[in-house]
Amino acid sequence: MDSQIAIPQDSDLLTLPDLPFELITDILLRLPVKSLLKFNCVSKTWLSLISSSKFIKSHLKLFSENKEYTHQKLMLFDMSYNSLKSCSLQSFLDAPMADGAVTNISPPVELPDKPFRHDPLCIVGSCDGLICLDIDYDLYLWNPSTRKYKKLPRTTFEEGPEIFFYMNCGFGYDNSSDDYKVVAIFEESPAKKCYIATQVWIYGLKTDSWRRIVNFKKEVHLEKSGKFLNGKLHWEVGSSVVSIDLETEMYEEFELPYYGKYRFDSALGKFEGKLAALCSDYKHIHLWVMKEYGVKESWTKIFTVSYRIDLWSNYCPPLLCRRKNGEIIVLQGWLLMVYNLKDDLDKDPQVIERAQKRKNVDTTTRTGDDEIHDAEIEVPLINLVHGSRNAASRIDQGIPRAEETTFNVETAATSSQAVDIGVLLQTMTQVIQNQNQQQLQQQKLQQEQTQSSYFDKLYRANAPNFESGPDPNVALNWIAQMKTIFKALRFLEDVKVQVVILFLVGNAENWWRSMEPMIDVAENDITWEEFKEMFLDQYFPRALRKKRQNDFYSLRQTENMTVLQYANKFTSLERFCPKVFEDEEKKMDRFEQGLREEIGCQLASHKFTTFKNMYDAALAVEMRFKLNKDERSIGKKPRWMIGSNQAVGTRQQGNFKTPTKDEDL
Amino acid sequence: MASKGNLTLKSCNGKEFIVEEKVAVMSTTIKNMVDVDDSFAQGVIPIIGVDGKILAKLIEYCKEHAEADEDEEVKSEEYLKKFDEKFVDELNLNDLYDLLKASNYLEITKLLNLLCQKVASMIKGKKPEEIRRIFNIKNDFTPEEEEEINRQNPWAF
Repeated sequence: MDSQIAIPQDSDLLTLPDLPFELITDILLRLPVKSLLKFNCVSKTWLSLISSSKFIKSHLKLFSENKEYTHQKLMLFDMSYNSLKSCSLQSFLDAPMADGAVTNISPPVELPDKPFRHDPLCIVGSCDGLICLDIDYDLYLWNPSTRKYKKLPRTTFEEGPEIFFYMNCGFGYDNSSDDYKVVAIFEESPAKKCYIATQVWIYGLKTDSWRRIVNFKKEVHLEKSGKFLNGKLHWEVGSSVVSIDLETEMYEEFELPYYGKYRFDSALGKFEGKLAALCSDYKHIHLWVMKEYGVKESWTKIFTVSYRIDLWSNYCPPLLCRRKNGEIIVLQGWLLMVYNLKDDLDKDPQVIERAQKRKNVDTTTRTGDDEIHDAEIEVPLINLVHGSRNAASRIDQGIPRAEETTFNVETAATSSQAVDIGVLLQTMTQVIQNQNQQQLQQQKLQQEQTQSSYFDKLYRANAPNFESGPDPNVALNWIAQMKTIFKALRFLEDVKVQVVILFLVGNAENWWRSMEPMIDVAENDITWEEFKEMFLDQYFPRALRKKRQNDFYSLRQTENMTVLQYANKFTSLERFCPKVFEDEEKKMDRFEQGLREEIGCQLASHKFTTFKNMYDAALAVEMRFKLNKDERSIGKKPRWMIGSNQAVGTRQQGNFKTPTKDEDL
Repeated sequence: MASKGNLTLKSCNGKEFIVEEKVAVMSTTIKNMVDVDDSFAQGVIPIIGVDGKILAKLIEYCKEHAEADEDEEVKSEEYLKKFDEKFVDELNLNDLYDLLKASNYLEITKLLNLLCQKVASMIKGKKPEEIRRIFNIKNDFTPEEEEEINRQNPWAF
């Protein structure tokens, strides 16, 4: 309301000489954080008033209850620019969104610069305007309104000899102890065992320390950070929701709605103050809301909207909310889709507008006086918000799909089915033209020739085109095929990306064009590996990669699987876990762990230097078992049993030799 | 004497206003007076320290809101919002100050909130020294202390 009240010209003459103190407090409660910080120095009484926790709480309450969402903000992490952006929720809910509504906001600490690798920043959650951030594996609590932050101490959890660990967090508020808490779930795969063990730690802001609590109810891999609602943090675990109460530290579990046969990915969130589940099949997003908290029967499907699955990002499911006029907004990255409720929601969105034109992002405008509020702690980010107290949200992944991608939703299908050489050549010329500049003219000609010849080679080698489709495996196979062809044709590193992009057609071509402004291919700005990374990010959704990673971590050699079969499976999955893949030792640990126990036991005491050695040894052990089994079947004493007992006895000495022949036993 | 359902309010300078009870009880103070002592409901309620001009303003405000509370269709939320904006915009600084004190004394919460919001929007961009002048506050910090406090949030200035 305040923004609409014009300040009278003579306000300089305003005097309020003897107002009762409670009235002054009432006035101060309505000031934005920035002014309050400024007025700290008015007098000692004011300073102690403004810094009192009672005042801070009342201030927060007053601002978060504002039904116009004047003081609430939406915060997004734009991965392509490595920057945080914020926008007032009010303007987000207003249609259409005003230019300049989105502003850049500096994160509390400088972000590490690691393009194409992992997200340098992850918004864990938000509560009362306090934001919990994970910046390069360190946790921070941050109040963007006061620009104060606190780096959390690390837990005493140690990685130990396990092959990997993974941290999943949730952030919330415990009313009973009036404390902000972070729950961190560490997953580890202890060596020699094939399950994920968890350790759960809880952090309290008041004590500024971590404490270990009862282990997570289910020993599974968790992908998305916990969602805070009703004093509890919630995680999606298979077909249920597991929650932990921040006060009692007790776990609860209840079922998710049945999503139907086609479930591509799903996420928990908050919609209009209630626990919500967002599920996507390959063409739609379905939103379910648990009308009565904890009552499984009360899951109700609120709406279904059509959606392009290639926009879905595992790390940041889209943000959904409902405008006052009933329109449904789906925000993914900076792509804002508006669905008009009057029309069939199953149709394509009526309006497609971008939340913000990239070029217009105003980097100088400060967040303004109507900044989100409260003197100590501030505004929130929760997926799927609207009407919730802490209305705002988190989006990680950004802009890559720009105009063209959006624009082509309809046209793509018609233009790119059967691509002939003519179209491709045209594409190629376009790509080159885009790189232009007069002084490059000469080089361009040469380049065109070389590119053409490389292209010809590829074309003759039957290199396939890539067009985005619903099956992510196609993308994976395509990139693998390209790799093989490059190897066979002995292409040099620096031409790979230049030519491979010529084989992107339809939507994929558009995708590349939207990426291009950020990358100078001619300058070899991008390596093949980086391209691959970007490409897979786009077309082989992280959700699936995560799933493959999980498969990899839980891969076991079953009873009827030979070592060879197991190793093949292992090799096909290991590329999804570069961390393990690149580390020979971790790789060996994982491999050994997944082996059948009797084989694993035999290898356990031996220190192998290479994966190949270990693999050979495993094959040998298997062969020996087979021999023994054959012997047993004709009535002989299983000799390997003696061998294995000896092996146990001599473990410490570490003198196990690769038992390539029976004599070694 | 007010007819049934009406109350008579008398300002400190002797002006009398006959208002509907539902309008008058927007003020928690008046409501309490009427509730505990029946004689107020029959007779004249003195509004101490509030002159006729300000009391008229208060009644104007309460009338709109009481009617809106009764019938949402005639006076929608949107209408009230507009009315509130216009109401505070037209106040001069003296009236604003007097109304603030009067609505505090009479506990007319809605109006008080509105006025506080108005004052907040008027002072949010001011400098600390201006604030001290407006509220007649003495700076009890030493220059060093003041500087130290300001150093903690340099961006706010």
